[in-house]
Amino acid sequence: MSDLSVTHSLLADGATLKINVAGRLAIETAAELQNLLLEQVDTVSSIQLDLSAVEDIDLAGMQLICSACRTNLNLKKHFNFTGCMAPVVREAIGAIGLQRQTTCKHNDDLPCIWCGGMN
Amino acid sequence: MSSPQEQHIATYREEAGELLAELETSLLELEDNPQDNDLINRVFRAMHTIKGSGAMFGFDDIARFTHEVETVFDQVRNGKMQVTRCLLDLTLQARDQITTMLDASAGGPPADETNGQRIIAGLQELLPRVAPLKAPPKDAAATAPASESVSRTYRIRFKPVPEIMLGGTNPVSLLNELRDLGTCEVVVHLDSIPTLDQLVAEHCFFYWDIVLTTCQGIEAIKDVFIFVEDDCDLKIDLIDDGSAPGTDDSYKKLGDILVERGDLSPVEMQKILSMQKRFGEILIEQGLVPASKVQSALMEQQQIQQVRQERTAAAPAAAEAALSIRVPAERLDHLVNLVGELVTVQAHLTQIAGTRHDNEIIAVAEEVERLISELRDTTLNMRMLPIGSTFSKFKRLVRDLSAELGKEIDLETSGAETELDKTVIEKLNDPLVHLIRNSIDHGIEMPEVRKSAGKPAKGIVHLAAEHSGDSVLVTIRDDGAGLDKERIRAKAIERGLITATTELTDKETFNLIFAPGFSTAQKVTSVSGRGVGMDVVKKAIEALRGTIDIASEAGKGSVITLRIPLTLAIIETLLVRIDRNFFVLPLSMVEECIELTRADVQAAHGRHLAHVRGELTPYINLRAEFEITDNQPEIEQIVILSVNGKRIGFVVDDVVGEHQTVIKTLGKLYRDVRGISGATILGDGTVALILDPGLLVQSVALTEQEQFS
Repeated sequence: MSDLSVTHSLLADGATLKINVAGRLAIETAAELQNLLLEQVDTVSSIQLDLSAVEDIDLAGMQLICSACRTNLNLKKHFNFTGCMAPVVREAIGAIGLQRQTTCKHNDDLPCIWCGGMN
Repeated sequence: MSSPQEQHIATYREEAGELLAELETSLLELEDNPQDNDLINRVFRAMHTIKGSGAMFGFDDIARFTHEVETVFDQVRNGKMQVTRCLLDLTLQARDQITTMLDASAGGPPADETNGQRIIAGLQELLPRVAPLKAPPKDAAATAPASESVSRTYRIRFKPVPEIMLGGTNPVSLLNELRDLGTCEVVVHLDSIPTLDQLVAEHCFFYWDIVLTTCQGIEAIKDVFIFVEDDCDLKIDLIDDGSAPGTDDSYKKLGDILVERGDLSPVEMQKILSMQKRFGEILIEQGLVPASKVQSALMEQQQIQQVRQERTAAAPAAAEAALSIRVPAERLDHLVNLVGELVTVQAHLTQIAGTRHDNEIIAVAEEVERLISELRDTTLNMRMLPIGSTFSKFKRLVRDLSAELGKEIDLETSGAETELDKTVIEKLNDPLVHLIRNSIDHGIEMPEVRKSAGKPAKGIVHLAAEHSGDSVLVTIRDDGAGLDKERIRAKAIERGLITATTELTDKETFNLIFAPGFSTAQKVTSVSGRGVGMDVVKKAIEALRGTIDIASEAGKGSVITLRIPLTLAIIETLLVRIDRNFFVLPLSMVEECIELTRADVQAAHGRHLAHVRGELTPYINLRAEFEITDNQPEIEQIVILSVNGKRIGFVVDDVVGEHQTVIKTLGKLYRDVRGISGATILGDGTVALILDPGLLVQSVALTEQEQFS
């Protein structure tokens, strides 16, 4: 299983950061993405996360994304996914019991981003 | 006509045979999924029925023997005994013993009674020692009657300590273990997840509500969490003990569930209840309970309601009348023969109607044609059986053979639902057994050899069936050593099949193994190596109008593909004519038809080659082959067929058109005529011969070889 690779770029609007996550987003690699998110949280008003190239994701990886979602919403910023979610991510969502989680408490009970919600 | 009692006994034998087959399949499946309660119940039910109806029809010995085996499985069903390899071995032997007893009652050799006693003794050895009676446990879950396997529903809240993952535990795998126990709904709670600046990525902030419906006791659930007992808050409550009447579909109210779980206080609940709105909505509005918890409680409500509904639905379903009837095979065969005759007569009728120019007769003939084609399809369909019944027999074969040879082999199957004519399936059995034996013995290597070659120790034999046009493709694929081209070649030279200088393609080399008496096995085992075989397999497949094809890669394995026609009774053909003689060619092989003029023949300087869009296509002049000399037309037709993957033309005078051919076998006198596989009767009573292109090509090639050597 390949290591985590995180790349990011600012979109044309100058306010949206697109982060591409590839490889293994898991307990031993999650901190890398966490650091990037922490660094960028003050610089942009919207974050788009592309998980299409994720090859493996575990509980720690999903938890980190939930936390990022929550943090950004608290700061009244947009946080969402872009691109096609990799099948392994979909499986992980099911395995952890997120598919029953249709709304998110941290998000004014709007649909949870994992399950297709938007914010 | 036999007496009613005799008929009942015949029916019992038939049914017991089916049950025994099902028993075998279930036992083999159970070997792969020893925890599967459905399978255990299926095994139990099959034995129970064999025993019960056996006693009813006077098969007392079978009933007595089966009873002993059933008793042991009852313990498994009640969770008092584990499914082990040893248990399955003995049960499979018991199943064979019952089969022998059944055969003995039908006049077969008598069953070995000592063997039966040995099996029973072995089974009883496995029974758990009866523990002294304990005081009845207080736990509600454990007091339910043990003789019935009742589904109970539990609510589990699993809240691991944040550090749980640091110890190497993956909570998701625990959830998956719970899912294996029964029907399971999992809701994850996200409310403990902190913001990014406070998040420790390696900690776990998720926790879960799980509603699990399972036949296994609370202990099985506790076992899942046995290694994390100290690392989590775990709460398991029995919420449905399986005894509530199914008609009562109201489960606890949402508020009650939340209060019971401790997520909502009774006071708060009362306050909310006084407001007449949808309870869940109000809770969320008020911020008393997060949406996820309401969601989780609603899920519990749903699952329990569903479980109870299913319980109600299960009862009347069992009483539903049987929707199928049993018909003896020979009656079906007779029906197919009659339909075959009818198709011929109908062709005659259509022909007469065509010449009379009477619209009324034409209309009737067309109607009859439509009905008969429907009747034909329906009748042939009645004889269609899924090939799966044969597949399941092979599971046992693979299991026993691989144990005998000390190899580890899994049999995978796909396309078990593919349907084939009953006769075809029966005739396919022996060749398949042979091919699978070959794969196991020659193909798959010993586990240590496999490991050193970088392959998993366990070999795989894959058996698949799929439809392809008017045939079914059956493939036997193994991931073993593959065919040894050099060894085949050496052996073929030794046996004088080829000379040392003969150059062969891979395919031609592989085809050498179909020569009679050919074997490359270094030693003769009980399984194979005697060199009786592949030629017989090929003959059997050809007798079914099928073809056999081998592909193999050294070190990777081999694939043997059988192409078998769907039915032996009626095929789609192309009707052709030479002078006044009619022949039919299998339509599935026809690729195209082109013209052949005298000028073309002269341009080829006596070689039998035709230019087709820049490519040279060899052809066989059937007129010459069959020595028909009269009335050769100026322009002939070449029907190009795909024979063993090569395009080969057959020259005829005229192509008449497509034809539904009812196959009639040729008499014994013509048994050895090569290239003609049967005959059919045309509408006007003329006989048309069915050509076998593969054999025709072979015999022409042989004649030419003789001419040149």
